[in-house]
Amino acid sequence: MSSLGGTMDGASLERRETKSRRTEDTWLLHHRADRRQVAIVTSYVALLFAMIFVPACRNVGCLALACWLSFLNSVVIHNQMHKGIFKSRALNRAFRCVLSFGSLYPASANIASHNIVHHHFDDDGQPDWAAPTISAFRFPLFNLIHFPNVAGPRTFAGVSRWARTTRQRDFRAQYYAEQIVAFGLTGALMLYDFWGTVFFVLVPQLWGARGILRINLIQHEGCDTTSEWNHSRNFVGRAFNWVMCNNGFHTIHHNRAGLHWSVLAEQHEREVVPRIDPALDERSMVVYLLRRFVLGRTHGKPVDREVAGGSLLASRADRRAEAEADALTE
Amino acid sequence: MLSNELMGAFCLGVVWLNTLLIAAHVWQAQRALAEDARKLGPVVFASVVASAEGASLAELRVAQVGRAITTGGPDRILFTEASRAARVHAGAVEASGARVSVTPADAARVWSFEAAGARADTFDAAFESASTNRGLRADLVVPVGAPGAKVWLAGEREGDALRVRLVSDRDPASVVRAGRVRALAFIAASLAVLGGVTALALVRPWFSGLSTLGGVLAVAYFLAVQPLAVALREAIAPPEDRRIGGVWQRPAP
Repeated sequence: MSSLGGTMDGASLERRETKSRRTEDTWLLHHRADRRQVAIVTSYVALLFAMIFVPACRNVGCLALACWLSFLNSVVIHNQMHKGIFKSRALNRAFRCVLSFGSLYPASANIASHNIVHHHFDDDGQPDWAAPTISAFRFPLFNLIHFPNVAGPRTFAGVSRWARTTRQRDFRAQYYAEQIVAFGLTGALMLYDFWGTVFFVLVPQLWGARGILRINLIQHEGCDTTSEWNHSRNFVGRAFNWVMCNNGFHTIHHNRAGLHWSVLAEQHEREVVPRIDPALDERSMVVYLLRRFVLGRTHGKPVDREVAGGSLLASRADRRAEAEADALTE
Repeated sequence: MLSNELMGAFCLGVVWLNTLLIAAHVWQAQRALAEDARKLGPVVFASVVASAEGASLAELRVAQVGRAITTGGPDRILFTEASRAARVHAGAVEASGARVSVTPADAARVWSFEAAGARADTFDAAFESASTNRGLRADLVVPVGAPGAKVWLAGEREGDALRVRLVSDRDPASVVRAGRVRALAFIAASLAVLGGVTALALVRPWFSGLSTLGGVLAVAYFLAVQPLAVALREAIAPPEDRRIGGVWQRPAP
């Protein structure tokens, strides 16, 4: 324990999480809480197929729900690629393929684009492929809309480059399998009903995939990526985080990528709140989106806070090396 | 129930909105190029007479990270740029029949379009480092303006000397002009192609025959225009913003 009340070092956190896992696992899942993620993905895929095969489901409510679930599918991709939710490796691999269909991009792309590059805001000396600065219109709403048009291609170019040099034994086979499932199944549905698939499958798929890219802009624009605590914006509303599987707690997730999402709220309170500029803890994402991207409010520069207890974190270089090593064993 | 007509209009609207933003982003890039050229001021075409330090008037030192390629085939290292530093050495050039001395500068811009440089390592040692998690850290030194070479210089005259802001091995004006022409051509082509695709999608009867072909092309267009625009912006960026990478293959024995 450090001198900061209740704060733990990384090893203590790991031990505590391992102990908690032993009591919270199921016969299939590492963590009981991941039933929520399985339910999200199952509901989403079922809804897509319902909209294809049951014409009565082609209504505004179902389409809006599918778009929302698609975004959550991308959130599940993010969580799954940090730590597979199933105990079985084969099931994790198969689940990645299902997730890839849901968002129309190979889930394994996250290893390079998110776990290795984005978490450290660095691509071997170059900026993150989805750095907030890649779109610079004066009107912020244009940036929010346009951001995926730039971040998407940059990300896939980067992942393709990384795939040429990865030493992860079967990365490429899994990456191609995910693409075959994602594009193959979508293509097959298009052959069955082209317009129905475009309107009720492709639209939700792209909404989710582009939405998760936009999150990079929302959570990092105006932050200080050189700081250990002010690099991210958090959205701390309880209902929001229940639905989002705690993905609103972004600072603690960046700093301790190995933590299960279900403990992020508690760790945010313990480690981040005493150190972060309070302006980077937002209650509501909807209010923030309106304030920033519609009303055009600008950000102040985040202020570092001095807190007793010293640095809790390993250096970024060490954390990146750890992420590279994890990628080899994934 | 959402009708095909309503959803079709919505989807076409999304594609058009994003295309207009992509075109505006490319427009920004060409305007930045024009502004950059204006700030450079007059450019002098010269021949390098001498350099006080080493064999060239200027050099780029590119810090690169090398990673071993694991896709099979011969041993190769894939390099990406991490950062770069440019330097202009003291020297002399001949411009319009007059000899002009060049003042050394560390903050000058150096544009090289012949990114061939020298590496210090042997391949075996480099490959071993490139096969680690950290990768190989290596500098690539790119000389610009060997004695006798033609260069383009921009800067301020200080008596008989020139304090250089830019040294380029290609005419900067033509580089900027070519970049702007490509950007404007891209904007015109992307809007024209989308116009054609839209017209095809709207051929009656809607949602069958040619109209469906228009829909297929609209999906393909939306997926293709984004990477094409990013590739274009990277290709026309000022040379110091274009990353110097490359592949080093094990030399034949």
